[in-house]
Amino acid sequence: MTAWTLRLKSSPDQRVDASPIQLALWNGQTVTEVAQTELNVGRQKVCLGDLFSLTRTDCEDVRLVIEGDLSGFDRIGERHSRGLFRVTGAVGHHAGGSMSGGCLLIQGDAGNHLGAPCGAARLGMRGGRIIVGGSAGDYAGHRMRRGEILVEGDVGRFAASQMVAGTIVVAGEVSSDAATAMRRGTLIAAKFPDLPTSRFSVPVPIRSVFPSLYDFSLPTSAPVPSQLKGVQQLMHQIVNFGFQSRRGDMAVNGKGEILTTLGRTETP
Amino acid sequence: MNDSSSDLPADTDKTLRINGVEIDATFAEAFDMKATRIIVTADDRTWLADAAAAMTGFASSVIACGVEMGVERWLDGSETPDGREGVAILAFAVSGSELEKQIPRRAGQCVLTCPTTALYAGILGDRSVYPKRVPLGKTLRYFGDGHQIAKVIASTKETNSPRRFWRVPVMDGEFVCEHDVPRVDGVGGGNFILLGDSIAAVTKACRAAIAAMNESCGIITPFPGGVTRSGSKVGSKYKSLFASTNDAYCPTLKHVVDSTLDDRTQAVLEIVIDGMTPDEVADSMRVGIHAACDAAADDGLHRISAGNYGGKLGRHHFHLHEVLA
Repeated sequence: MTAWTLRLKSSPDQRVDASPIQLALWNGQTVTEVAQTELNVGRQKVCLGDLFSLTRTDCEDVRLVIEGDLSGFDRIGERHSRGLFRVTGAVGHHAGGSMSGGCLLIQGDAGNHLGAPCGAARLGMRGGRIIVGGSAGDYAGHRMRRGEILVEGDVGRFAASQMVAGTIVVAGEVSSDAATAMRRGTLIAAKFPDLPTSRFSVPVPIRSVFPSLYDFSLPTSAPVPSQLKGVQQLMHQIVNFGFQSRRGDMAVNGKGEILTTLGRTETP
Repeated sequence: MNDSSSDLPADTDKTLRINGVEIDATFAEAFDMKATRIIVTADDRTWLADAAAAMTGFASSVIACGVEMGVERWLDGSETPDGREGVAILAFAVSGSELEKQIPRRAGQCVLTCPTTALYAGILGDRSVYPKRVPLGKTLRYFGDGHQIAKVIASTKETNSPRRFWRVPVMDGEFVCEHDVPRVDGVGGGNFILLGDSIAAVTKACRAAIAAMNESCGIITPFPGGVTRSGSKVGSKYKSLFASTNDAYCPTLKHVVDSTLDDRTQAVLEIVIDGMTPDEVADSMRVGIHAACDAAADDGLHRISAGNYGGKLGRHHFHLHEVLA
């Protein structure tokens, strides 16, 4: 297996389309070959090697680590399917778009449309796990089909909008327009957003063991053990002290669910 | 242990004894079966025992039950997907289609119905590893009448491979059930026969054997208490029966049929073993025979034998002397 490490030399002035950075396409390639991968920077094409210094090492798993603040880089981890894709800083919009497997670990903030459809795709991420150590922007999990998104901080507007399936866990704040047109899937939040009662059922306590099935421990190859403390604490509350649910969005005959704790404040 | 019917043992060495108990130079003949393992969990041991008893009830022999099932072992919270206490149940059938018929039917009537329970696969691996599957939630989800929820979880504490679960609303909350469970090849019909002076002596030997074998993983002893008194031979004088009493081991038929029993033998019981692998069957036979001989040699257990059909029906031959070597 191969571990790639990319260190950002300097951030371009214009936004970067980072979608060509695909771990699956680099299998068997040399550093020189990968460095020639072209990225769209504004209207220009720039080689990956001009923006990053690259190193390639052998390891037990498939791994890509990008060091630096990539908040100007959009479509990070798009179509990611296998292995760990870790960014030590923030990322731009459309991170993890149409992702199908593996783990995308963003240690900083993420922009809008996290895990949402990419290009003309109808559905968003359909597998794998996205972990955001900071906060995420608007439309996190938009049209998400399967997989998990874990956000340690807050999410912007319209989280889980038009969600089809999957699980989103937010340890911070969720806006009141979350779950708009949600059809199925699960949004787990630290507290209920102020959802309209005309479209979402009243809170009901639920007895189920399903939250205990999740294992939200970080990949062993990711050296940031405290990154998910808020998410893990929220899940601990739900697993050990119970949870309540609201179902909707009834405007689209949806059967999605928004879960939160029963309001107890015990800590692990 | 041999896996071929061509190399039958030279049944001449009859000198092996354990604590004075004679071990016949013969072999147990076992068959290929289709097997699976499921895990049931519940809020407390009482519900768990009730669900396990129902699930494994009337599952002593494929002859009339369609499936042979039993509790493999009890699991503590660290060994189950949801962290509650559980049981691992093994099931064996003569064909994959029979297993696919029996397991959902029993799960639906015996586990889904039991309060607080959940049902999981006890063999981990997706379709790329185990393409043959036995449906669980795949079938039971329809009880939810459209309110059921599928949940694919990317990583559980047992594996980093995605697993698919169903959440079915029921009157105590939700019944959580894994979508399906892998079907694997197993071995059915490993056995040994205990002969003694009295039913008390053989009962004591059997109970000691079963207690010791219950510590083994990968096997079940599907008969009541792990023991059967109705060992069978193939065929019958009645055309409708394909198995009938093993008259050669019936004490009441000594001197009436071609009996294998001497005058001293007054009771015979058999322990039948189904296992996930031939090695696990052989290991449990060794453990059970030693435990029986240790417990009841002084009380009247005097001989251990095994049941076979001349080596013509089953691929797996467990020669007692080899198993005990």
